[in-house]
Amino acid sequence: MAEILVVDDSELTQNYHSYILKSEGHNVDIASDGVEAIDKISNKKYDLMLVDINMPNLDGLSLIRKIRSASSGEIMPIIIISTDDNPHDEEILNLEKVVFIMKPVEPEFLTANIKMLLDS
Amino acid sequence: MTELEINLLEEIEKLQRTAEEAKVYESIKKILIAYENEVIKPLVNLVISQQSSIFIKENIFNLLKEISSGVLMKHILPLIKNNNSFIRNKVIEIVEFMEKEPVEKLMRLLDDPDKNVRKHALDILYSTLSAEAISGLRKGLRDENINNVITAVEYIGLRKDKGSVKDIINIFEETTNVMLKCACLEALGNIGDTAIFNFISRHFEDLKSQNKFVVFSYIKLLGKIGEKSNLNDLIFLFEHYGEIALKELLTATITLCQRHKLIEVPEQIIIILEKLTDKNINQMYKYEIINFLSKYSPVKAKEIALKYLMTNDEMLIMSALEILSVNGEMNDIKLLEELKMRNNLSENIKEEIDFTIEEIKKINEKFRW
Repeated sequence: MAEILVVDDSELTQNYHSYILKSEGHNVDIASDGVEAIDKISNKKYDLMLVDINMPNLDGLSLIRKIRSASSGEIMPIIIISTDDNPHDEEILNLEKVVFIMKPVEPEFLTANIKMLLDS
Repeated sequence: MTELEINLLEEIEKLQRTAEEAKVYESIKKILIAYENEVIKPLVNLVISQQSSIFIKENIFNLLKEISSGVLMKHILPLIKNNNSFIRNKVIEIVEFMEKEPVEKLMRLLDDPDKNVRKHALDILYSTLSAEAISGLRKGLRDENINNVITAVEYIGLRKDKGSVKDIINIFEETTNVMLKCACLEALGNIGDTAIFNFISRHFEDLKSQNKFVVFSYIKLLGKIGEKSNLNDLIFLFEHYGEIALKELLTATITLCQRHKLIEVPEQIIIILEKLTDKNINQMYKYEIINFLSKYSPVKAKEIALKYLMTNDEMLIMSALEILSVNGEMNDIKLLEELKMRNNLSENIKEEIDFTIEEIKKINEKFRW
């Protein structure tokens, strides 16, 4: 069982991803944008983060940059989930323990990626 | 770069260097007013320039918000195709400032060959809150891209558009995509039209055959529009989904009971919940179970509270103390005093035990009179 943060501004997507994660026994917290995510991450340790790209206030790619530039020890795995078929940011996609998945997510595909990242 | 662009850039950069930001900002606004239509294109060019800092881009967008013209729309709307999500979000902010005028232009963007452009057009249409935007969102239900259909369904649900109920039910029946099915149920729950009841009884008669993720959304739907008779569904769902969808089930049961002014829930639900407290489920869920039972079965809540007191989990002990501070009896005080003697308890818990003992004494004193 892992602690997972879902970052997405769509309530529907937050719910849907939570359903998949809860079904696998994970604990889920929700943030509606990058700013809220930073707040949550600074108060709790997460094993993995699911993040959307297009969000108000602080978008997903900027959030990932901030998190990774601030992390000194253990790297939190990140799954980028977006409707864009290309996040247009090779630098981010080449980061360690970052996976990109297109919406709408197939539950089995998401859980397989989560397992792979958590096991690594 | 044109001379006008260079001048503007210089002025905007001054904002960073001067202590009188407001004054400089006003002087740039004067340039905007004087050269309104000529100045928009250079400003937009500065926004998309790689050389412009975020500070400059942010200020330019703030300045563009001050302009409300067709020329602005012509130059700003194409930016929703921009790769940079900061720019796209700012475009949405600007369009939100506008009234009816952009709706027609946005409707045309729903025919754009680029699915991302159509998605952003839906985002903007939803955020404009205009009545005309609904027809654009309905058009999104027929988009060839499934993500755009999901977005349109979600927005229509949030807008509570009763006129789309039939279309959403059709989409639910036709699609095999799980997320889209969930989107349809959540939208129908938000719309809350009576036409939905026939649909529910038709599709959810056999809960065993449903996809488990769709069931999550169905639980939410029951909370929002379920009838008293749907409590039977909830019993089944507590039994089969209690360990993974407990929070959703508790919330749905509470909202359904509140809507129908029910003060009791079926005994079977109480029994299932009690069994769950003995299972290896998330401690937070155990906390939520006791809170739920305190509303619908105070006697059972107290029984479970006494069980929680015997654990080493401070969250559960705290939840038990909350129950006892309302339902406790004089003979519980001895147990609480023994608990306080445990040497692994935090000061917080010890203080809470003292408080609970005092509350029990007060309650029972009143009762005696």
